[in-house]
Amino acid sequence: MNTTELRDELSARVASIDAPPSMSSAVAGKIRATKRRRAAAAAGVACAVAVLTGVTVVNAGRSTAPVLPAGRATSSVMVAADGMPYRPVPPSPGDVVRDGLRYRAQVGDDRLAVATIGAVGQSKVTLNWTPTTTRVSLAADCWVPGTDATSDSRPMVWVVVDGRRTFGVSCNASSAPAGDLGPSLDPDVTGTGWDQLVVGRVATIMLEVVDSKGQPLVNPDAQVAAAIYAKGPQRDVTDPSTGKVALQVPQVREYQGYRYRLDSLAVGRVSAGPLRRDTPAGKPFIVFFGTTETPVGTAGSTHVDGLTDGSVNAGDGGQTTANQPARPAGTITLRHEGATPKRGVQLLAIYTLAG
Amino acid sequence: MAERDDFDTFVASRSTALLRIAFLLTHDRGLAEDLVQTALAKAWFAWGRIEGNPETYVRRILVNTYSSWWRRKWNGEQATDQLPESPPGRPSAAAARHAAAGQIDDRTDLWQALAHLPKRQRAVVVLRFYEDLSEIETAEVMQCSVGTVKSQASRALAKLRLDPALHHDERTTRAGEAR
Repeated sequence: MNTTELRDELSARVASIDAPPSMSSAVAGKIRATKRRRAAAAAGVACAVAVLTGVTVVNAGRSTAPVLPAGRATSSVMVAADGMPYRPVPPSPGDVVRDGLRYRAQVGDDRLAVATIGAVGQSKVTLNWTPTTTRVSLAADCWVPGTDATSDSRPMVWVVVDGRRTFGVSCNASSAPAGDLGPSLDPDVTGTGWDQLVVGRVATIMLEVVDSKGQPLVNPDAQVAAAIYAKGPQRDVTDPSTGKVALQVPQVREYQGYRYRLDSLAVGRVSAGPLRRDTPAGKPFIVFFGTTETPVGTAGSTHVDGLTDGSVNAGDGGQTTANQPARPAGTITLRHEGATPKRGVQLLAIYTLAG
Repeated sequence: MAERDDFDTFVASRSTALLRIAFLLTHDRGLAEDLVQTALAKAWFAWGRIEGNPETYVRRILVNTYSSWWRRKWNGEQATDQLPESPPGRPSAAAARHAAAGQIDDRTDLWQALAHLPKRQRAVVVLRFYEDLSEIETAEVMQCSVGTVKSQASRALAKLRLDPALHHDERTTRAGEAR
């Protein structure tokens, strides 16, 4: 293998990919949605329309780590390829399991509210849930083996809330490998929870596999699974200039079977200068950093220094999670380069291993 | 400064190229389309302020947005078959196979190995070896130093288990671009 072959491979992988004719209209839709979301945020009200196109994909959402039966976990610490500790999580009474797939009853402090894993060949599943909270995350998993992962006609799964198509997620082109599934979508785009849910009112959330034309897909090998997790305790990140909550961060995160607790949190205006936090000695930790409420497309960018791989550019918006293997005590610095936006909040949080 | 009227033309003419980059970054057609749409929507709001070639700016947004998506991932749910399932000191069967082979020897493995690269390394690989950007251009897109591009590329190639001699040749060939 040499770099010429690498170049050839990259070119070959995308040779058949062309932008669909609908790209321009899709971009226009994104622009309209962003405008609506900004307008709603400025008015301080929830915008029900924004969620239609504003749902944020946060992860492919699943683990291929094997689900081990209780008692197989060893007391010796296993270290993953990224230098962080790793351990399988044994079964729990509240887990939802089928065909080797599992939605865990609890991930970090997030608790499974409702879940279903459809049988192979079942291309539609439904969750009926009476919300006790609207601060939730969602799992929407779909597999249709034998399809072309690069094709325009790749099937997707629609998430339909109370009869209304809300958003779609592409299906995996393979069958579901055994392992843990996890929430992959954060439908809270307003900071006030999923605005299609009402506490105490039954919500019907259906997932249906459709083809490229949006028609229900019948495939004997298709499989769908869905879950809703109620978020655990969060810490408010308040915009100092407005006094309003700009973001919430979880008080506990889980990574590779281990819990990490929020140890320290620094928040400030982007224009106020760098943020710094000390890091623990001899223990793995997680750094969560970034900005929120900054204007889109500003010239400046956010950088963080002190991570294991040096300086990291966090871009011009959004938040980052960096997992840090054990090392001597140090300092993490979050700083802004280039033009400084007049508004926006920056944050730097350290999560330490809680066991 | 780019004119707003040029935006539609840019979208029509460059969407396929951007989509291909996005697919190489995400390895998922659906995510790639969403990534391109999101990046172009972000670019639209700044279009009137863009100096020079807008493609460089859009590429930068694309890479940053890609990174942000991955950063927002649900922690703890992204374990891969790279993870050792046996205690330290007992290499997994897969690791032993790779060690014995000494290299990734077919394209399916290469594609899978690319998928396992950290996001910044994958971005460097795509920009350097698909887009054929120089180290300076790659650094500009990724908003980092040329040295960081070099180190990330070096780590990525090492992980892809490319021939060390060719890896060395590549660095030597491209070294002049940084000066």
